[in-house]
Amino acid sequence: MKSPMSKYDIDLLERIDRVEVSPSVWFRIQNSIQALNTERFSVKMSWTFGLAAALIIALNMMVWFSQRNEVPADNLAETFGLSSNYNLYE
Amino acid sequence: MQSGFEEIYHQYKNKVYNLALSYIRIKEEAEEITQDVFISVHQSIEKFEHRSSLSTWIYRITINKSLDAIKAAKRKKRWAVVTRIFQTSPSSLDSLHATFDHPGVQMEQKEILEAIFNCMNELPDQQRTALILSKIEHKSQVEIAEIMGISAKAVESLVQRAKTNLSKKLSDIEGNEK
Repeated sequence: MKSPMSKYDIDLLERIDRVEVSPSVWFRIQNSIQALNTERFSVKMSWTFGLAAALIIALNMMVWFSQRNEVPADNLAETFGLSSNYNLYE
Repeated sequence: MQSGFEEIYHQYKNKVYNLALSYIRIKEEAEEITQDVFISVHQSIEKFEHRSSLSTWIYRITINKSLDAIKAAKRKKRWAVVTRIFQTSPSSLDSLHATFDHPGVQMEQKEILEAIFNCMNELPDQQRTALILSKIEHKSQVEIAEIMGISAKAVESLVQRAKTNLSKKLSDIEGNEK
């Protein structure tokens, strides 16, 4: 496989020392997880507020449409600058 | 959940870090990979289905993250060649020259191991992973097979091919030196 005189001995790989990871890595992981959780929370809140706003707008529009259909004839006559005695429905 | 995660971290941190170092050989990059691995573990520990052991799962994540980091570094290097044409300041290229900073390698063997690692970089991903797990991580064929999701026979063949290819590349270097 390898020449006995070779200085590039593959078996040197077996003698690499095991090293300890720096303690700062744990703090960096904790910070990243905290940042991810905060981000997830703010995305969740944005969705909640967005949906609530959409719901309020939809409800308002429903109320507005239902009120629009119930406009009395007098108000309509006023809107079009007609006398309230004018019979709009004829 | 948090204390369970902390326990997992302290149990596997050095295994993850040393495995990442075998791929990247730069202290800071290996720390980044260790960080990424444990964030992934934290994010998906609830989805972990125990179809393999926890250690196998963590090894797989580490291998994938390390190979991704190598690919990203290669892309960065290619991009640096392009930017070198337009940029006169060498500052952004400095970090790319520091490609070997393995804290587990002794000074007197640094040069030789750097050459061996550089040749390992040219091996296909599967061969490189099999060689790292067998030679540096001292894993058995059965353990490597489980981590890589292949048969023990396939592992044996991969390690054999990796050794042959590596020896060929190293004897070429030695031949060029003479």
